[in-house]
Amino acid sequence: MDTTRHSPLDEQQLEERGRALARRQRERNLRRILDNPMLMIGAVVMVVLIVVAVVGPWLSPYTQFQLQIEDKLTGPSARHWLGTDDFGRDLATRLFHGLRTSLAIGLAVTVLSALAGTAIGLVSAYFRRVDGVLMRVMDGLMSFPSILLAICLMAAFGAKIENVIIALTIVFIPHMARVVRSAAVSVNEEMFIDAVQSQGASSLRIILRHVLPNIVSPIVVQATFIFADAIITEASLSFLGAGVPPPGASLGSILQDGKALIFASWWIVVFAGLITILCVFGLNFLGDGLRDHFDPRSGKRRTVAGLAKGQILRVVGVGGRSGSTPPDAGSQAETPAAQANAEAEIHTDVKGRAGHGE
Amino acid sequence: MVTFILRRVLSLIPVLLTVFVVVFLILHLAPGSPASVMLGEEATQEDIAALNAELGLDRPLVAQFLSWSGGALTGDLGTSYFLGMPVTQAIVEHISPTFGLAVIAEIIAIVIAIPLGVLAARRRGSHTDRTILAGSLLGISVPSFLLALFLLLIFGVWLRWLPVGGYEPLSSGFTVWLAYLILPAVALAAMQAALVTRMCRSSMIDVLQVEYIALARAKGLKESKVLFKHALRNGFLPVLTVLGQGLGALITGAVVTETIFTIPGLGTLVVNSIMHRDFPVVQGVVLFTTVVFVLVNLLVDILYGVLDPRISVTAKK
Repeated sequence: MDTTRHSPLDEQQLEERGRALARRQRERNLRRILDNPMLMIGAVVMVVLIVVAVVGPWLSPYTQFQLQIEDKLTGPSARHWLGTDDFGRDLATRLFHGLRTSLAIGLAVTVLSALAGTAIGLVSAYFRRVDGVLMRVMDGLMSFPSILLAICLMAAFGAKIENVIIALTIVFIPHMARVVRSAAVSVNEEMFIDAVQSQGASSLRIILRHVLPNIVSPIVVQATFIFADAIITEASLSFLGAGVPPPGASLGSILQDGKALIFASWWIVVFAGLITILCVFGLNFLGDGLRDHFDPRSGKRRTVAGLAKGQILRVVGVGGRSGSTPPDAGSQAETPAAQANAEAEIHTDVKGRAGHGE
Repeated sequence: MVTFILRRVLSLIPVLLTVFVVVFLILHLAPGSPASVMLGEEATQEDIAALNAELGLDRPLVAQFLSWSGGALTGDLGTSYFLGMPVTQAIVEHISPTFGLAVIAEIIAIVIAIPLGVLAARRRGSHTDRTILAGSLLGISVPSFLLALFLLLIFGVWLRWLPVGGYEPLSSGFTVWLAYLILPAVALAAMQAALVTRMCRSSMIDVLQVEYIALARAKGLKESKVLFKHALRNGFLPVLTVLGQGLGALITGAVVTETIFTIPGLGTLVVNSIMHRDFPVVQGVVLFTTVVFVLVNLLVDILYGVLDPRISVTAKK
């Protein structure tokens, strides 16, 4: 501790400088966020969608179940901006409710699978004895195409909205667990963990207080992609009839109706599809942006050539959630950039030719 | 080399085992046995119990699992409850549409993606490159079943160029067969193509930087020869990996896409069987699909090791 006595004026100056420094740091961070186009686009899109989902049903002059048979199967018009379905229900209102349902399910699944997946990943990374077993189980679960696993679970549990959430959570837990384990393992190897261990800290304390705070960013990024994935998978489930049961509606069930009516009304499929795509795009952009924000190196790495020998080659590809192979049969086609961006890092010696390292 | 292969094969066994067990458990622990589904709501408890006993469903789970796995290893996957035929036969009857779909989709993906990837790498940073990258981002982001729906709408409903659903076997004529499969194949291929384009591009960028390419150009080789004979050959390996892994994506995508286009393939089979609690079929198909996928990945791994001996020699953790 500095024992030199500061005059009151010096103290004041120091404080001010400290505050100015902090403010500049905050401004720099904000600048980084604002300059990140993916992040901004994703965030804006998602905010808009959430606002629409929350406020939309309220603002609409129609209710979700309001039948106006005389209006059935009309296209976009002044009365019904997005058209009606075969029961005369206003499509826009249905879409607002559907968006609400889909987003709510997606959010629930994301939060639950993040919690459970993080727990499993942390435990697996810290306690090597259970690591093998846990990861094999996770690999096994991930070997399934997620749709099939989800349908199986829904058939097992029965068609209720809570079961959709449970089933999807189970499907996505391994995805989070793998990422968390991977990140936690590298943190565990840091010296400060040894230091804290030798001080006698309990395992729980170490995990929660030291490991977890350091792996927050991959968790957040992965959670965003899981959200996107969950929305698609739920939509597919409901589309197949194995998801949200009627009369509830999610984007997927509206799409199912639309498909059945596709010859009579193009607007149902088009608008429901567009909203779903918008959701997925928004979330993927957000995830990409967040990832670039937390790890700026990855943005530059993509165009770097001539890797030094043994250097990590980032493979943007399907499946292979970070961590070890075996490649999983669960590489879903339904997952957009989520897959492409859950980058598998492959150590190769293949590119050892180039002389210049990076 | 042999040890390399053996080790890869052995590492698959735990995964396969887990898959078996998980499928089995999910279906068997579900409330509502096939018997009750088959007999309907009117059935009495005795009837259900009797049918369960007949189907062998009242034995302890472990016994059921063992007998099923034992049969599976010898090629007997049991008999379907609903279709009245051996599971193996059901699979065989439903496999050609799915296989055809997968093949067409892979071909489309390759034909589109590799030239685009090479082009983008060659013109890195240019407008061409950026357009291609943007396009690939689009391809990755649009879920294939939505793409399928839109394609159906545009080509099947509005333009009426192609049929809206159904399937004709290859024996009915190539054009007819293709007409039924092309839309779903494109829907599935889009994501694959996008991923392969990106992979090819980044791999080619890396390779093109290397000295021997400069040497080839200095020698006066035609640019196309430089690109394809030297650069692509060396940069192809990661692309191969993505293609192999993409097979899994195709299988998944096929499930919903087949339903959209009413194609009687494995996807439709498994979805319907799950709804009907037709355990043997579900188990059989999931098993089959997973094994195929795992084998393809194994093949890719081995090919990788063969094409670049350094990989098989490097000690793997």
